[in-house]
Amino acid sequence: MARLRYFLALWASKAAYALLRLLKHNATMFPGQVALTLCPDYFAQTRKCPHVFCVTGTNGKTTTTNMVADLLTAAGYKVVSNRYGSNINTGVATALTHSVGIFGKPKVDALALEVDEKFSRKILPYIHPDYLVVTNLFRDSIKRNAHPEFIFNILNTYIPKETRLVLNADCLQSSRLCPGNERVFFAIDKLPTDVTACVNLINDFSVCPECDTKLEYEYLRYHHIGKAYCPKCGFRSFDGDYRLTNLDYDAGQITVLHDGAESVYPIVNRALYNVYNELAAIALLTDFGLSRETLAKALGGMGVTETRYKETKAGKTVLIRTMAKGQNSVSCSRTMDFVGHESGERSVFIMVDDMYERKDSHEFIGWIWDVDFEFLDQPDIRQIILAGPRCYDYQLRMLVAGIPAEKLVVEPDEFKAVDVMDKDVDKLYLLHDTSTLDLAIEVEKKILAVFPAAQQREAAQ
Amino acid sequence: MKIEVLYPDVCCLYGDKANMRYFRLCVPQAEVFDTPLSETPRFLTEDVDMITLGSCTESNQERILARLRPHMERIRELADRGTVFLLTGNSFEIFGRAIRHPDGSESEGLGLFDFTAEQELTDDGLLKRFNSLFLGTFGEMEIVGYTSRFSHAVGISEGEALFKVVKGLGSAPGAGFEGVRKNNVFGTYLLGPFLVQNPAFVKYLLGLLGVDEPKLAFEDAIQKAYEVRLAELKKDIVFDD
Ligand SMILES: [Zn+2]
Repeated sequence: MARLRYFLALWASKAAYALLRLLKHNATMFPGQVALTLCPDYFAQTRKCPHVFCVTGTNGKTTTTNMVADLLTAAGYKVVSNRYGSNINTGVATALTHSVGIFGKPKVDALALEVDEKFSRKILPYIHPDYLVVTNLFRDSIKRNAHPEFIFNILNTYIPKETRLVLNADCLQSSRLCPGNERVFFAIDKLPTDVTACVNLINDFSVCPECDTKLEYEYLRYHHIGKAYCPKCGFRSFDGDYRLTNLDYDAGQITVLHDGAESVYPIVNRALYNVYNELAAIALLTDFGLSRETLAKALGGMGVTETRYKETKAGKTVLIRTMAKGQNSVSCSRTMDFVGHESGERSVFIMVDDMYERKDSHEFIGWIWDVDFEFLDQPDIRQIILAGPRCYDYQLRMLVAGIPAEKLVVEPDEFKAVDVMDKDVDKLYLLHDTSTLDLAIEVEKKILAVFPAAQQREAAQ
Repeated sequence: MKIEVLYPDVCCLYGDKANMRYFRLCVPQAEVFDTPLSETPRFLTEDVDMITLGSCTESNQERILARLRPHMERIRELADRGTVFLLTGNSFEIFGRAIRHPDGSESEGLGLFDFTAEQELTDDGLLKRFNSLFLGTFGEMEIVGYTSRFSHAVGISEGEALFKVVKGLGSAPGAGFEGVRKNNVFGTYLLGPFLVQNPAFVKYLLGLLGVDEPKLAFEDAIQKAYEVRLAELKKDIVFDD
């Protein structure tokens, strides 16, 4: 009976997919939804392909999953992933539908799945991944995720005992997951840019879990990411099994030490958080058995598809549209750090209010007090435009950050704000939330309209 | 004036630290002491004028309770004497009778108040989260804010409540009031930048601390943000989800 229900669900799911494709609709969630509605234990009923890889964590899971899928494909594996779909149960169910034929027999070699950390409880226990990468755990949306310890407890409860873990040794919030499971750790050795005391407003793991003493650091990268130790009781971060020992931006390569041997790989993307994602993928797939040559060759031809990042040159000015993920104070702080430390005369246009909340509710704005807007207090940042319904909250936030009032433009209407934007600078930054991407594209058009079209060209990242 | 910020290393969720960051800009003359979790609170050995605690994780509530339980008498003495306590988010639960966990077990609170903080589970066994915007009153003052939490405070009498609810979630579902008050001890589930969002309440606290003609830092900006928020909360919008 259960099998019959499963096959009905599978066929309905496949039919739903075919129909949506025919109608040229996005078909990443609905087929999975159909499957789960008809067969609630669809995950458990689906016959798994030989290798199942999952990736979860607060930040970096999409990039890491995509790299893993691409590397496996380059190594000759037939892979299904949910890269264009959602990372909650419906998106994963859609991927499972694609991974089997109409008689339920696996037709691919591997699944590479991005899994939402909170939904993991509805997914991991039923699909029993062979491997799970946890990129990191930070504070995220208060409503959905409460706090990182809450997410830690979910993962710690629901990760299957037989799943081999690939964990970030530099993140004490996630590296302590499931101590009974087999695991490998990845870590980045001390970098010249590291510090030993936290310069960020938030550190989600600042106290020794054994004795409550304030942790100290051999090196600290940002927030709680680094190598910590307790000066009182000896508690300390794990050591990496895969240690990035040299990050050479000039040569465009990283060196990874594993089992006493160093291997060199090309850097896919220069942002440090993407270096972590690459290292996670290398650790995972080396442990799985792919060779350095295979990985290095495939990484060499790879780029991070940044739908979240676009540069347009307009005369002497560069307009950079990039995401500052709203309600995720760490991700947003990374963006402020990046913009603050760039060079040249700059204007920064901030529109990160949540699009859904502004429609029929009112966004809770506590998270902006956790974002390091202090990074924007730079002499060569000439103007900061605060646009959107919460702009007055941002104004107070910027003033408390020490940014001079005369640099601030406060305007609820994003399009009116464009009119007063100082465009005579080297770089214009347009920072938007995931939910305001479409609006940001319209704003971007309006900004670019002041520059002669002939002078404009899209720049590669 | 001496202000002790208790355990900011763990009571730092949701932007709660903004409150004291802003408050100290309004009283530059104050001495502000941050006491980390591993250290002995200053209020045990000397008098302070104000003590604050902010939102923390459920496990840190337990760690804080373990550290403060031996000092219940001193806390009661300070409360009776009129010391200002500002307890935001779930930190005020520490000062109740107990925190009751979903399995029925209880952690003994400091007992300054009689309420019990009660946690519940969702159908699939997670702690149940409650999120709500808030509009209420404190005397003539209109209070705005936000709560997001795993528990409710049950057993607060109207007489010891802090705010009256106009819209949104009070101390428990259906309660017409929010938070607790005894003398100058103020406890509220409103979290994050609660003071930053309520300039009149900042002035009120400054008055309690003996500041003559209190002046707010960035007064125009804080006032404008408050007025915009207040007007929005008075509209017909979704308060809880
Ligand atoms: Zn320790």
